[in-house]
Amino acid sequence: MTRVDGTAAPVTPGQPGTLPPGPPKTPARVSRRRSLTRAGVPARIALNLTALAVFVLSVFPVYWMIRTAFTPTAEIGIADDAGRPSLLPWPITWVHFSDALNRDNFGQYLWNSVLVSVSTVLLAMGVAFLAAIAVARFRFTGRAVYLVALMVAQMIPLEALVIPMYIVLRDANALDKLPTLILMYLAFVLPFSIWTLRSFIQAIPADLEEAAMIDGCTRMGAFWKVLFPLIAPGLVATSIFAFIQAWNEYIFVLVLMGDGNYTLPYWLGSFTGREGTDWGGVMAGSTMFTIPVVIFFVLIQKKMTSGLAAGAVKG
Amino acid sequence: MSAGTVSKERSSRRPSWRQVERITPFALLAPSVILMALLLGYPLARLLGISFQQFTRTEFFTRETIYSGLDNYVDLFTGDFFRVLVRTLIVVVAMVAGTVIIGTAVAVLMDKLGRPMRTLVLVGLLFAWATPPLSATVVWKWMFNSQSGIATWALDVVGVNLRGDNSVLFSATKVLTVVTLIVIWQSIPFVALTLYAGLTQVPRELYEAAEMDGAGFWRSFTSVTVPMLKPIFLLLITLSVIWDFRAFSQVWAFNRGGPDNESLLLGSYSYFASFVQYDFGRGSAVAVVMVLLLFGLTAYYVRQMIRSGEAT
Repeated sequence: MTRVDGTAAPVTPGQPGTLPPGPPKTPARVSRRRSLTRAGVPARIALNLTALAVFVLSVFPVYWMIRTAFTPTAEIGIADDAGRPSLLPWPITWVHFSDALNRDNFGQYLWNSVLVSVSTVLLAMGVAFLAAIAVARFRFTGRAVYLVALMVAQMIPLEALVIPMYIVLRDANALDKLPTLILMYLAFVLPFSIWTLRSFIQAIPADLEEAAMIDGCTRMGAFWKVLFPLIAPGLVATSIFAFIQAWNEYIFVLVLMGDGNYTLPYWLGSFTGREGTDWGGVMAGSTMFTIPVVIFFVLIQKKMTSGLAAGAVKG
Repeated sequence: MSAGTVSKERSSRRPSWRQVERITPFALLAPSVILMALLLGYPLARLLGISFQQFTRTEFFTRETIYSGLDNYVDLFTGDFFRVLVRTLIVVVAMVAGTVIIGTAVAVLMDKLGRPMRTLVLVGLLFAWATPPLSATVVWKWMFNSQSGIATWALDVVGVNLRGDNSVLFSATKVLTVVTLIVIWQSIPFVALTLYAGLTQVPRELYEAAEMDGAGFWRSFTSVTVPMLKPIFLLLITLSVIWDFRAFSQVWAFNRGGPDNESLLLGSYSYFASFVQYDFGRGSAVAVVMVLLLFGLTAYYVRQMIRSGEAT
């Protein structure tokens, strides 16, 4: 996560440490533009058309979901005389949304989803902030082991854990309870959250806290009063990422919860898609489920992708 | 914050500063360690335990523990496990190859584009990336609906018939093809954007030198871009394999592993064995095999991350 912590330069693979992060950008851009102008007009048109195709293919499924959600049932499938589906939702209708909200416990599941995801995030950030301070600001025995464990934990296929958890929770009489789900998700998002928060904290020079301590702050007071406000943006980004993970989780809801305690992914996954599925309603529900995630994602993508990318670039 | 009391103690009783320094990090880590040990480590150990037990619906209700040695693993050889394993490997290879090849092409494209078009591509990629896998699955299922799906219609125009008896849902091959497409569609953005970020770090002089030596686009791609980005490629391929192996939502929500359970992949097969057939022992054995298969890749990934100084 170089871009975020700024301590190490993004390293060109194969040539560790030779390339500083900032400078080469500008000349690179200039020469690239020059090479673009040198390319012929047909080549440029081909490039831009390909780009347009990539854009259309990327957004089409999302567009089609929204289009279907706003299209009256009669027009959803085949429309005009040639048997061509109409590309625009016309006439626009909101009926699928009100239908979805009033059907199959959608409202209840929506509430459960919000409750579980928000609780997970709040708890996770508390626990992760403490742990991140420990690994970013202290040197202690077992630190390297802990960091490696965090990395491994991020790679555990959680789907494999659902079987033992089902049995353990049955024995503990904790199945079909929302706090159980929150606790599970807390464990799932922790490794990633600690990892990310740690790189945000490392980006802040420790001198600031030391200065505060010289001025009479306790060490914890310095973390709270100096560090916390500075990493607030990082905390928000990490929270959103954790929120999305909890919001999208499917298999544990499917296995561990029951009728009143399902979340939205269960609702979405319950349509088999054979005869008689009300696609307008499904797409309206899907749209309501998707939109918050997409908005959140776009808000944080700069912070998170630059971190992910730079982390990988270091290779 | 329990550590707060520690520092208060210091001012009153004044134990040595060093002592406090020594316990503080452990106090800070304690909650996370306890949670992860209890909810990730312990279930992993239990999974291994259950995989050595006879654990079916009967034992589930009687709560008896009957160890059966390697029976569950031996059973894997007789059942359809190998077909599922081979199928999974084929599908994962297709997913990863598709993702990396198209992702690379998109990254190179972005590198060549002017600013406005590059932003457009970025926005498109973000949409595909941000869409929850379940929404994606449901939408793709709708697009391939045999009566009114837009993809069914479009393919009809070019002569591919997916209507009626030819419905996607009636053929495991078609189901897995669409599932593969869904996964590729959602995985391209991460790969493309990561590679694009890598491309901007490759010194332009290398391309200029290659050009002076008379290298065309393809030649400079294979002899400059690929070698320079090799570490990123390895990392992306490793991560993609790990992630694609775990694809559960797409398989299960698309068609419940049907028709005839022929589209189950390792992850959904383990779920199916446990929660549909109620053979938890067998399901666990499958899950253990999956964890072990991924372990090597994870080890490679972690080693790379340590080498690059991430764990400092």
